[in-house]
Amino acid sequence: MDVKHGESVAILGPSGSGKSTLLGLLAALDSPSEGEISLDGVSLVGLDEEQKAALRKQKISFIFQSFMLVDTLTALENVMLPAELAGIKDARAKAEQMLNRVGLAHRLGHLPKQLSGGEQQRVAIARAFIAEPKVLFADEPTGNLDKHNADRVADMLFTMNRESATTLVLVTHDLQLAKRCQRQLEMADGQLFELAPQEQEVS
Amino acid sequence: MEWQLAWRLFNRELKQGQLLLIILALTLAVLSVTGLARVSERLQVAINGQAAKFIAADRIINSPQPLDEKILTQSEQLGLQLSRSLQFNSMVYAGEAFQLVTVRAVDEHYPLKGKVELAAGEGQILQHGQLWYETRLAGLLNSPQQVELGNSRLTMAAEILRLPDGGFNLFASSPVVMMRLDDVPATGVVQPGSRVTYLYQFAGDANALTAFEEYAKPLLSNSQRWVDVQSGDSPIASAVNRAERFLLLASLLGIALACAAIGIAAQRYCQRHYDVVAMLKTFGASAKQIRSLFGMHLLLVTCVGVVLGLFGGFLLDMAITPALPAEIAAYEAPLWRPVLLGIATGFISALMFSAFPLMKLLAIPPLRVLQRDLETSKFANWLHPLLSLAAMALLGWMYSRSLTLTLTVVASVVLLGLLLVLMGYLLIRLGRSVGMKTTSPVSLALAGLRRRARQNSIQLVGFSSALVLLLTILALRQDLLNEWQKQLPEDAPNYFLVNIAPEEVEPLQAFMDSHQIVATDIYPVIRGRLSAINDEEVITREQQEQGERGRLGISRELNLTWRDTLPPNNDILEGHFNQSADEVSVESGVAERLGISLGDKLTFIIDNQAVDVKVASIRSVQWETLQPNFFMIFSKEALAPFMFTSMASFHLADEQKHVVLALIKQFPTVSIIDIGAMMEQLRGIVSQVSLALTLVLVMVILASALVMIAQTEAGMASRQKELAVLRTFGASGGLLRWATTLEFAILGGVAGVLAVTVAEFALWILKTQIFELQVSAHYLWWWLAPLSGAILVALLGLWRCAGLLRKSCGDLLKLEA
Repeated sequence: MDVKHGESVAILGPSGSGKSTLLGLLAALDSPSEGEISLDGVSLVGLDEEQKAALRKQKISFIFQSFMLVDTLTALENVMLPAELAGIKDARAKAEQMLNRVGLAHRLGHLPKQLSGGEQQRVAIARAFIAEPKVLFADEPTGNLDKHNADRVADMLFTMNRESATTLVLVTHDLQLAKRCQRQLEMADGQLFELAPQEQEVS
Repeated sequence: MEWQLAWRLFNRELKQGQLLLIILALTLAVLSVTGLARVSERLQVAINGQAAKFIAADRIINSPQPLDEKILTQSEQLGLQLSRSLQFNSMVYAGEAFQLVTVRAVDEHYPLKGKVELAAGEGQILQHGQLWYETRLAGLLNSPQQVELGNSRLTMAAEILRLPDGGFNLFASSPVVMMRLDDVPATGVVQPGSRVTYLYQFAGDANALTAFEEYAKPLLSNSQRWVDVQSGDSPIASAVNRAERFLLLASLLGIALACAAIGIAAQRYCQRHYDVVAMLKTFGASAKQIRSLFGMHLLLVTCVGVVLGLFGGFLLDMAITPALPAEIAAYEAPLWRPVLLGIATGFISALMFSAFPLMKLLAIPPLRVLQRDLETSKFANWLHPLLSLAAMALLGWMYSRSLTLTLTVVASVVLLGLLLVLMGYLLIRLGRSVGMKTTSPVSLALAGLRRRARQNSIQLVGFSSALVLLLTILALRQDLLNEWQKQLPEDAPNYFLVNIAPEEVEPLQAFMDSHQIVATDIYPVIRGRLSAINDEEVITREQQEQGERGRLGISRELNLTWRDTLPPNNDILEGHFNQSADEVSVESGVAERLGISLGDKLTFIIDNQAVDVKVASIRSVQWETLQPNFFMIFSKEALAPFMFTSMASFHLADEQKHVVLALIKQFPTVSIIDIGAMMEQLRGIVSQVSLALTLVLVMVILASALVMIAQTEAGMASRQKELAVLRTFGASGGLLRWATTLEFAILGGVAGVLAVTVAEFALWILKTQIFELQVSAHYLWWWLAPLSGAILVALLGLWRCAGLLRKSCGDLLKLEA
């Protein structure tokens, strides 16, 4: 499979079909036992943990189903984290700006447990974009949210993705969400199929 | 960057109480080490200070010839004070009367510690031509004004009540007199070849003394003897030694427990950060960044724990000092050792106990963000106990400076751990056959126990080791206090009578009866030296240390006695007491030291005659009883040919002091030794040690509570998952509360049973091997410990689970997510 720069791709499939494994491989979290993966011209095969970490730091960002915020840090501090890791200057000002963009300017000093699920995922979105990644991997970003919040989060995700021209790889069960991506792929029994627009209608 | 992040994480977690457990555990360890070290340091200094008065100096060198001047020069360079004196036996004459005396010729610096007590009061200085004398000499010589000693006439100037280092001469047959060292040449008594002892007494600060010991000891010849406070025959030694051993052991166990709390807390601390590390790695943090982030984070945690602990230790010391007997509180022990020990304890335990969990934490794969149950399996699990034991051993050794004691504790901990894991696992496995119904709290609790068998058996270790230590320390403390109480009753003897001539025994007995004084039996005393065991010549310990081969003997003269019946406070361990003329009864401690067993042939030299006897019995003796006690007891026939004097001890209340004066008047040649002051000192030490023991107990209780809390904390996550499921399927709040309570209660009860078993076993070993105390079973414990264990752990569990139990199903599931 090929994903072009700035493209948004959804990966669909039932539980246990290997979606998350694929995501782990693409995002340089795991190493393939065989085959070839390259990201922005860099081959991921044969990279050690440190090299993969450096690559992730420079080019990749994430959004998770379970938000994965540090529960003892405030919203602002959570957003600052990737920027600080990457050594970006004025991480604080940037984080404030990002939180403002996701509509949480009034929640800077709140801890995750003081925020609703939707708000937590918006913090995660702000965190995902702060280091200006080339590729964003999202693992069921709306999986833990109710319909209203899910729509809001999805809107925000796609808007910011478009504005920053980031490549988006999104793993989901949710067909509606998948449809908002430019391409849809389906994973079944470890095989990946590109879905044509008609097939989508049928399924 | 990492520093900033570490500080932020630390600051936030601290404020939210997430670091409470690990900081508390660290604080407790540091506090107890600092506090206990401070108390025992003070105790040590106080005891040495008091005991120094008994040898009138801090160190003494005894020599049959003048000491090499370069040794004395060295002592001077080290800033030590020096007092020279000479001791020899000589005759003094007063008209027709004459008497053999022991002469102490001293310089103007004597005594370096303590003071000479005179009948005429303090403040007198020994002048040229004067002789100070022991009371009974006046009686023996009919109270003359002057006596002749060699070529000199000396004035009988003052009556000595007590010499600070007179303790050594307690049973000397001849009275002691004191004169000036520079008067000795004029007497002409000391000639080349005369039998004299040169005494060099030293006093100064501890460092200089140690340096001097290192310098001087190797230079001493076989015939020269190094004496320090410990080698003095202080009757306090045995009681204090036992107390010190206990204090040391209890503190070691307490430290071990505090370490366990740190270990558990560290594990929790790391587990809580698994997700954070996975997330940071996902966002590209390098291994170095994560290492320094958590290294600094842990450093901050440790620093807070150490500072709080030191502060607590300081407060503890401030609180305890006023409670001490004044003469002990007056001794100011150096502060650096407790403080350094506390700091070292904090850092070593934090570092080594969290090393393994931290290694696991740092190796968390980033993939955990997608696969939530992922952990590292890179490290062997045996590494953790190994590192923890190493830390415990290191701390124990630093604290006790005794390898044997440390290894004993570590080995017991290993043994206990293995035993407990095995027993706990087996016990919980037994509940397997019980089915799982969600209607009865009992079956639910049992099912819960079974499901968490592995985790529970580890929790059991925590609960029961805490209980074991608690029980052990509690029992030992009580036993030791009882023992001391028994040995130091209000009416314990406070006077010793020695040098009672044979013809005075009966009048003395009559005197006692008429004044209604209850004295101990009157024991004959004959001085003799053990020269051979089984025809093998014995050598002294000094000779043995210098590499000479031969059987170890006793370097000094012994007080021998005869008796038909077993003295009180003596117990026959082997053989029979009714020794015949060629038999002897030997004290068990000396028998063990010299490797003497029943039937061995011992040769004594008494009055230049050899006496051969066979060992008929081995006896245990309670040395602390302040009664006349003897290493060797013969039959009357065996010692009848020799000259003897007698001794006894008795108790006299303060208001009966006039009886002593009457006694001195009627029996001028009998030496009366007042040990009342020494008894007071002994009581002071005992009360201080009891305080220290209570302190240790409190510390152990705190550490136990921490371990237990840490343990219940550890099971929380899986419990939460289960509660959520059970709630979802309609289990009522009451049922769940009961089931949870029961599950913890069963755990606590089982821990109680295990704890009693192990504690009884440990007590048996400790009492027989280390403390020489009577072993007794604690029947009460067998139901009390399981019951209180069940209640305690159930309450703890309920308290920890209260939040979860109150939550609705939806909340629980949300938490789960």
